[in-house]
Amino acid sequence: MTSLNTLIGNVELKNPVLLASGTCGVAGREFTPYFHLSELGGIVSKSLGIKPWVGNPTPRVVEVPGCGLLNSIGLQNPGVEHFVNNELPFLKEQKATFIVNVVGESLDEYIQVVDYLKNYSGFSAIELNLSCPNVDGGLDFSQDPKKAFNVVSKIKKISKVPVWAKLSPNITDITEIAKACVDAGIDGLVLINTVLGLAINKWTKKPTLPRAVGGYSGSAIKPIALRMIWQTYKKFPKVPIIGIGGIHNTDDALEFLLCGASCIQVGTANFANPKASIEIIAGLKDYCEKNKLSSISEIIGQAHEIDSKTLVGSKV
Amino acid sequence: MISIILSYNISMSFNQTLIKAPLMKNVQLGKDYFVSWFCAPEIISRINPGQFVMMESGQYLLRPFSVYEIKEDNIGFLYRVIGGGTSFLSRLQIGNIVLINGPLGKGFEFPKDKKIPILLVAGGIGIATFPIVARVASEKGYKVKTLFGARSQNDLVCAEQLKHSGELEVITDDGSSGRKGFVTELLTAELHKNKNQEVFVCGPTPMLKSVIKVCNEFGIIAQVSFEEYMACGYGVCMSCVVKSNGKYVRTCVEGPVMRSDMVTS
Repeated sequence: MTSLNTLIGNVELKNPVLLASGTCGVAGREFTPYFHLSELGGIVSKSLGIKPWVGNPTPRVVEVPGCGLLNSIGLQNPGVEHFVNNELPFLKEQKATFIVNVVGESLDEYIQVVDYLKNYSGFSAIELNLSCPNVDGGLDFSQDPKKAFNVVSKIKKISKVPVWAKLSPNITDITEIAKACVDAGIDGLVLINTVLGLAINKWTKKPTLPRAVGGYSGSAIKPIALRMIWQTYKKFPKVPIIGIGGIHNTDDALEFLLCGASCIQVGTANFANPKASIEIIAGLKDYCEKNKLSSISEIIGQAHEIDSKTLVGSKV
Repeated sequence: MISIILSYNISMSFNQTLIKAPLMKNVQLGKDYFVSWFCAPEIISRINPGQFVMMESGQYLLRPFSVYEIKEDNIGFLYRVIGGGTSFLSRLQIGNIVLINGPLGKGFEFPKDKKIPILLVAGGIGIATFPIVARVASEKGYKVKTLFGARSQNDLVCAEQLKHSGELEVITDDGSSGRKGFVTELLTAELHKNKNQEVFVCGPTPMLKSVIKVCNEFGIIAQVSFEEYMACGYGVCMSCVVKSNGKYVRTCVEGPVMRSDMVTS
């Protein structure tokens, strides 16, 4: 009997497939016509601030043909209080495994949200959004190791549940930020958030998105995510990695697990196929059975089990 | 930061399903206009006129299409070929299968009093949502009239069909059919005759704005079908928002049909 059970530190997941923050509404309610939320490994909420965030003006997304899309939503969210009162009871009723994504405009705001959440239960972990490219200062915590260390160590002190950090790929060496988070006691690294990008509207002769830049997601960023997971796993093989970036199907998910991710998040793929995550869960089960694995966790990081001489001139 | 309480509809009731549907027929209506018919009984049984679906059309994301008409087990979508997605659909072969997510969003609400006439105001390809609305309304016993503004005679698609469900008045930008002018002129004349009508509107954004302005002058609250660029169509991406009383609401869940007094952008 194959098991898809997954452990991220001491967070138990039914399987290694989660819905990514920002791609499942506020808390996944919109997926109920397609499957039962308890079938998932977990759901990660929209980034929640201490107060509601309005978000950016439209257009908020632009498609990059064949590759993915650029978004500039601007973290529109109803705030943590609304979430606790209206979404958390629903998620408990659904028996869904839940991770709360937290955002702040300052260190103080991150602390306020986590402090507020301290009084509630029913969620398994906190995911710190240290890497939104669509708000002022959104990338600061993910581009400066000192700031990253500071926010993670402060949050670790007050949080009752494990803390994950979602990092930005918009940096030269991802392992520097990863190290700062690990030093501060992080329980999981979520790799990667969107890649900074830009599109120009040839008719208006201006950038398409209102802030000019946006977050690039979808198939095109998968190799970038895999490379960063590869580097991070090499340096910190004991720190659980939650892999995300252009995962659309079972094969994509397998690549991430083999590369060193302990579980994966499905993001942009949800937009074109609400059942993408459920199809991946079925596909992973099938893979385990065909390959006679007793647990999917057997393959995590397997791509690293190579003779170093077989990689030519490898620095990473 | 300005503190604005966002209206998140937590009592959302979803009624959609995700299916793979085969193309039954592609019918060309005019130079660039097509109706694609798919076999989709699971979706048909759930439709309210004015709703839409998200449909696979050879692009990275699915594309929104309003429901044009239903016939037995088949659902039709009327569109003008303007880009990659619509071009893909127009070239599909019978039996080709596409992913359809729907029906989505809120449709039009018929007035409780069946004596109140329904006035449909369409601009350009906005007509695509009205044949089913007109037919269902007339079957329910409402008096239906359609005002249709288009660029030219070639763009006046499905006119005959609309005449089956009620009166039809057309106007064109170039005067090649009906009067030369804009649909707001027909609307003004119509509302001078009778203000007590339920007005449904669908068309490009500048046309919607002009129509809402006319309705406001007559003190009428119209039901308007909005269109914003959307990535998911079922409420998870937060892209397709319009401003309603200072809040951003999703056209795909809280709309696409919204009251004209509720939307400010």
